[in-house]
Amino acid sequence: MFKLKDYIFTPKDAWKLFRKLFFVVKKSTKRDVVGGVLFVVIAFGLFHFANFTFEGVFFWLFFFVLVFWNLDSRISIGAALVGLIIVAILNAMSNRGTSFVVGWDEKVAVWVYFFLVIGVAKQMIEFKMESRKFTPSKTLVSIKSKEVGRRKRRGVKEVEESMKSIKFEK
Amino acid sequence: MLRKYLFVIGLVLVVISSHLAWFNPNSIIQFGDWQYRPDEHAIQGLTSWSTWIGFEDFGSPNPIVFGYPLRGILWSIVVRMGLTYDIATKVTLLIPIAICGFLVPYFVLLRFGFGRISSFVSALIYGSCPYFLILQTGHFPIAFIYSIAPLFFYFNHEYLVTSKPRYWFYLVLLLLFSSAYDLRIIIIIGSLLIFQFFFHFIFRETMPTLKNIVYSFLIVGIYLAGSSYWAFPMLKGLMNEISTLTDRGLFGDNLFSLINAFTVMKWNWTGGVPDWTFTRMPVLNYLWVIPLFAFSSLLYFRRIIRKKEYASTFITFIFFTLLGVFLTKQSSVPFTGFYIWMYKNFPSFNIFREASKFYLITSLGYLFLIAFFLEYNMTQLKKKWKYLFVVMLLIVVAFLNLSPFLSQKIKTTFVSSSIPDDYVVYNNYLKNDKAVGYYRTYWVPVFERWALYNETMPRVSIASMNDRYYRKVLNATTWSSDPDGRAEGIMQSLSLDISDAVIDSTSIRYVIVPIIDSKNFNIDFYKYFGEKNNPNVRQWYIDQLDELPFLKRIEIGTKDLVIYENQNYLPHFHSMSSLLQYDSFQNLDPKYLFSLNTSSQSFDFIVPNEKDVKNIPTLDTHLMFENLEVKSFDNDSVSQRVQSDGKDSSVYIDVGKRVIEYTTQKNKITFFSDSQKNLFADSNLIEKSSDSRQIASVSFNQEEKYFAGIGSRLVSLESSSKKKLLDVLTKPFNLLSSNQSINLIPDGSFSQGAWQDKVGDCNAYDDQGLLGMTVVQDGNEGGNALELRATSHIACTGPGAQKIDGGKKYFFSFDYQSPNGKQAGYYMSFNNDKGTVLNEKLSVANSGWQHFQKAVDVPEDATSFKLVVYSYSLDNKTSIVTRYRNFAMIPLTKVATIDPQYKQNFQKIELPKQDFYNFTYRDLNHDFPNLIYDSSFENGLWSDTVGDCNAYDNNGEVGIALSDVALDGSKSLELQATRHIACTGPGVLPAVEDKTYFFSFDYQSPNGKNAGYYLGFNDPNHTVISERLSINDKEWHTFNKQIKIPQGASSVSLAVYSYSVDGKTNIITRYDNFHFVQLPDLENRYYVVSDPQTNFVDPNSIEFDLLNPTKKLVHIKGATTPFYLAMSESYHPQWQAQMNNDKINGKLAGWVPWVKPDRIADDKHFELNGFLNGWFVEPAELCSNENSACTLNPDGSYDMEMTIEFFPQRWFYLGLLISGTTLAGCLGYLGYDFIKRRKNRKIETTEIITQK
Repeated sequence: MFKLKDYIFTPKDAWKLFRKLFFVVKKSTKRDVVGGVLFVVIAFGLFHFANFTFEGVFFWLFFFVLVFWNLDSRISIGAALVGLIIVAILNAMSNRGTSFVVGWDEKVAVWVYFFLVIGVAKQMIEFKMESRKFTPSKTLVSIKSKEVGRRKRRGVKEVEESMKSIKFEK
Repeated sequence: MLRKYLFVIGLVLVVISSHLAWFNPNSIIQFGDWQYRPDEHAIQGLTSWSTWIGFEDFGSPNPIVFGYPLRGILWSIVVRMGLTYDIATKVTLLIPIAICGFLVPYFVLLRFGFGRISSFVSALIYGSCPYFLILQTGHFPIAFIYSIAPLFFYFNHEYLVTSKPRYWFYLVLLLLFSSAYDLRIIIIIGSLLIFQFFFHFIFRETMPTLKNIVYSFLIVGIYLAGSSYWAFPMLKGLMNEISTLTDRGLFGDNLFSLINAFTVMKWNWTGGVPDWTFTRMPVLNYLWVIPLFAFSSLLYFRRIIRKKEYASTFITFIFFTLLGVFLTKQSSVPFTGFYIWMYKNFPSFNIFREASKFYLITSLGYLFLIAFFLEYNMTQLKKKWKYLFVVMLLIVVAFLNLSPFLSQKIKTTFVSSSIPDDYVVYNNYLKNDKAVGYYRTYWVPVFERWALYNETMPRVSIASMNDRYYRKVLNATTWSSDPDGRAEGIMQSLSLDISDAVIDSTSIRYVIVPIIDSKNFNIDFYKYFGEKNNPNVRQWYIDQLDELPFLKRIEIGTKDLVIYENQNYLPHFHSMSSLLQYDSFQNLDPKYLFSLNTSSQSFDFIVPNEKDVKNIPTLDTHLMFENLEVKSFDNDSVSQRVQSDGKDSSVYIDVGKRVIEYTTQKNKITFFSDSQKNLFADSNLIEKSSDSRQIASVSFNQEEKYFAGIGSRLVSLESSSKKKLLDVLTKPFNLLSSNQSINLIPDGSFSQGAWQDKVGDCNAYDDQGLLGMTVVQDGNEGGNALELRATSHIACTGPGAQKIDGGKKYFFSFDYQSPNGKQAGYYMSFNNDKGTVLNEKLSVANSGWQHFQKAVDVPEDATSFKLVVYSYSLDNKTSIVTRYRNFAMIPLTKVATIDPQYKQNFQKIELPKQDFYNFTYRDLNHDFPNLIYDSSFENGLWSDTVGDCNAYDNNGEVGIALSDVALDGSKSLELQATRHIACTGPGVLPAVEDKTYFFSFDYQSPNGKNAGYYLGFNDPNHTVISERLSINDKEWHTFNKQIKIPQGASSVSLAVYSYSVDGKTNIITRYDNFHFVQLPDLENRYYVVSDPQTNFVDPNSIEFDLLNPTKKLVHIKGATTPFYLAMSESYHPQWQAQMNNDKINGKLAGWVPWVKPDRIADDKHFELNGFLNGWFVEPAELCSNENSACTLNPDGSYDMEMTIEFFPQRWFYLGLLISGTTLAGCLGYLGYDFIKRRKNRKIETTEIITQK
């Protein structure tokens, strides 16, 4: 059934949003607070001291948020893929002479590129963090390298297989 | 079994069906940059493609000597085997490209561990990439490396994983082999291999072992040793040529964008026949599928990196993709300044003047990313049909790209060409030509690929020659950036007085006008050489050549191909007994004529620019006042110092050039020509006077006004019984009269008020125009004047349409004045069919009244005209007042034509022997005023507002200021440009047609690389002279130039510039001390000739043998005195004239670079005629100490054997030896490794059998 209030922002919605935000803030850790402050400081610094454009500030902050709160790199990659589809559509419209989209395909393509670079950079960080998480103890590393030395490539595979059954130190 | 080879068979079918013509042994493949080469040329490859290219133009160092193994060895071997050049290229390039483009990526992916379907689809995408397809329409060497590129990364990867050195040996052999195809791409590949090396260790989290490091150095060493054959000659003599290629600046910024970079679509890909108009084509929609799927692989990152052996590969190729996309956008967003910064600062990046070669990186990245995507997509998607859908979509994209190739609609290099019949006839004629020796063929405007040429019959395009040689030598404006304006410039170099001599000295025997090759799919090159302005431009070229007296048209049986013969061409080597020396290349044509008329010496000259030629005796010919500076001027004189070094010197004065005077006495106007007495040598008048002579006398009517019509200029003749000066004139002029009672302009003195009630707005770009008009009394002279005022826009008014007689000449005049404006202006239009318009801006030099008059030729079919006069606003604040009065449009009647009876006549005056002379030209009627007001900015700027002279968008960042950094005085003009081009100028300057002006200014920049100026004339052709002046330091420099005002011009607009560079840096360019001074008639009038009084005699004979393009043997017989030896090959300092004796002959001495030949010293090797080689040969000196290359004849003369050698070739030979040894060493190691492995395998097999 059609209800008008479902389609407009009512005071009740505002109250709900406020409560939700309050809940998030109340639940936040010290790290979140530090992150929030850093977010504001970086934004201010980039705007006022480095004279970055809104676009530049947005992408730096986006990267900061991804890294600081360890969000999944696929958010950025996903945004890039969606952006690519949009670029393709805008470019097709632009080629057909739709005047209001002219120039926007290039602009969105730049955003896509930034999302990709940020996503890949975050993936590198994830890769390094993941490797660190599963770094075996020194004893195991020495066993592994001896094994590698003796059995060469085939040996490595065997060691890796055997290592799967060993519990790593955190 | 079938399943195993199914995909290979599929790829082979795709290859063959899309490249049918390439597999046809009888097809001729050529298009665009890929030229057909006659077998007679290809067979000479062993010598033609070494360090000196002798088969084209006037010869040049070979900047692609790295291509020798392919072009020099492989092709010539195939042709020597009796096959054709086409077969040679098919075997070495085309077929490998077609096959490897699909199969190499397929097998490499299989070896990397990908499945067959993933490898097949990815290989299909790689082989059908638009960039690769475009390369196959002409850039085969790059396409070849593209096709095998995945192999480099496979070998590198295998070594890094297995540590088996043989993989790196394969890699280095492949790199060396590919370097012969295109070195630039190998530099890209090499850089990527280094990244792959480091990424392997970073993302496998291991450290390189000592063995890895040692081998990496060894491999680099092997590559360098293997490259010696091109690296040695390049380092030892060809660096300048490389710099010339790398210093050309970026090209085609507008052809690249991030959109094209993502889709790997080169600018000219259309999905059909490529576009060659240098316009970026729209990206095809379906191409987006490729980046979409490639980048989708990033979603599987976590799954992929779980396998360590994949992690480094995946990350490496992600990096490649992002790097490739970033580089191939060139200078477009984001980071627009990055590419140009790299181009200027990063070593060797300047070999990539446009970014298309980096598409290879993106394409390699996509190859692996798509393979990863498909591989992980297969395991991820639960329903098989979804996977198949993705696979099919990618296959469809590949086939859409390949469709023009499959259907052969692409034409270009995918269809066989055939040689037009005329060229078959022409080639046969040359083959049967009995002429012995060496000559060139000269093509107007460019050579056609089908014509025969080789080392002894080089081909030359007049268009490229004009651009590379004649522009400097003949000072011809021969190369216009506008293709429509090129035709006349091209013919200019053939139609000068000097042209015959130039053509002879360059051994040009045949001049040919090529036919339009309509038989094949070739571009009509005439459209680049004037076809737009003249659809029948080819016939125009023929008509022009028919007029040249030194060319004779010959019939050889061709239908359309037109051939001329120059019978007086000089042999490749010839001698001269005298040599002229000029100060500069300026005015070469008149200097040549002067030399020819006065000294009857042969034409051959030098210009001492950077090289000291003091040790060569020359006949020095100085055209006086040719190189003036600001300090040359005094109040009423101009001076020049001429160095003569104590030689016997004479002054030559053109006494035929006389001043024209007139008197009006006894109802007659009488014209006289009088000698001039202006030239002083060291304060002594040396120009002797002669009698005044009457040249014409015409009846004179007191009621009428008389004018001299000199060109389009009108000079009023005053009534005077005393002689009045008219001008120095050499051409006939008209005596015109006007009846003052007929004035077509009503109320030209505004006695009845203004012409119109309201002022007009002639620049109403908005409704904010602030304009005004009144008629004021001209206080001093009593009459009325029209006053126009403009604060913004342009105020204008006029008397409306007035009747006029078509085809007649009219005297148009008015006075104008402005207390605060810089220019006045008028516009006159006629009602003829063409709508003829006269439009001029007039300079306001001061606040007094100025007079303007002009002869107007009314078009035949005009019956009325309209006149409008203007007041131009300046800064939207000041009300600019411009006043006009005394308008007249009066019919002119031609009374007589007066001939000044000019005939060039040089009178010789001998001078006392001195080291130098000070010459002064003094003319009491000429006071050399500077026409640029406030030329040193001590009283402020010309304008407070700066112009944007490249306002392609609204984001220009330009500025203007008065700077305290000044050369003289305390102020200078400072122009600033961060984006676009800042410009300013003093407005319109008066100029007199046919007169010469001295133009000079100082310029400086603390951070820019260029200053620049623009002079725009108001002649009917709208002539423009503009230059960019390079700045290499922060010092002040002075620019001086003499400018001849074109016919029909009466004013010139001057502007100076500051050019932005990267969109970020504020480029500051400062200017000071402008001069624009009218010169008296000094042109081609005074010469100083210093003669060393040598009596050299030519040797009895000079014969030569062409051993190869880098070595020629010259046999000189009967040399009694020193002489000059000329070689019609373009000048290079590394050409040496050596005595042909034991020091340069023998098993070793014949090719090693450390020989010390007896040779003519470098300071006696000169740039003959500005671009050829010349040596001053002194037989007695060279033949001293019983030189075995000389024979002393009984008559005291010498017979000499000389070797003319291009010395870097010896470094090429040494490098070739080292490269060959390195190659043999690598192959030897691989052979040894192969045998060892085979033996080990046998032992292992025997052990297993024994154990069993």
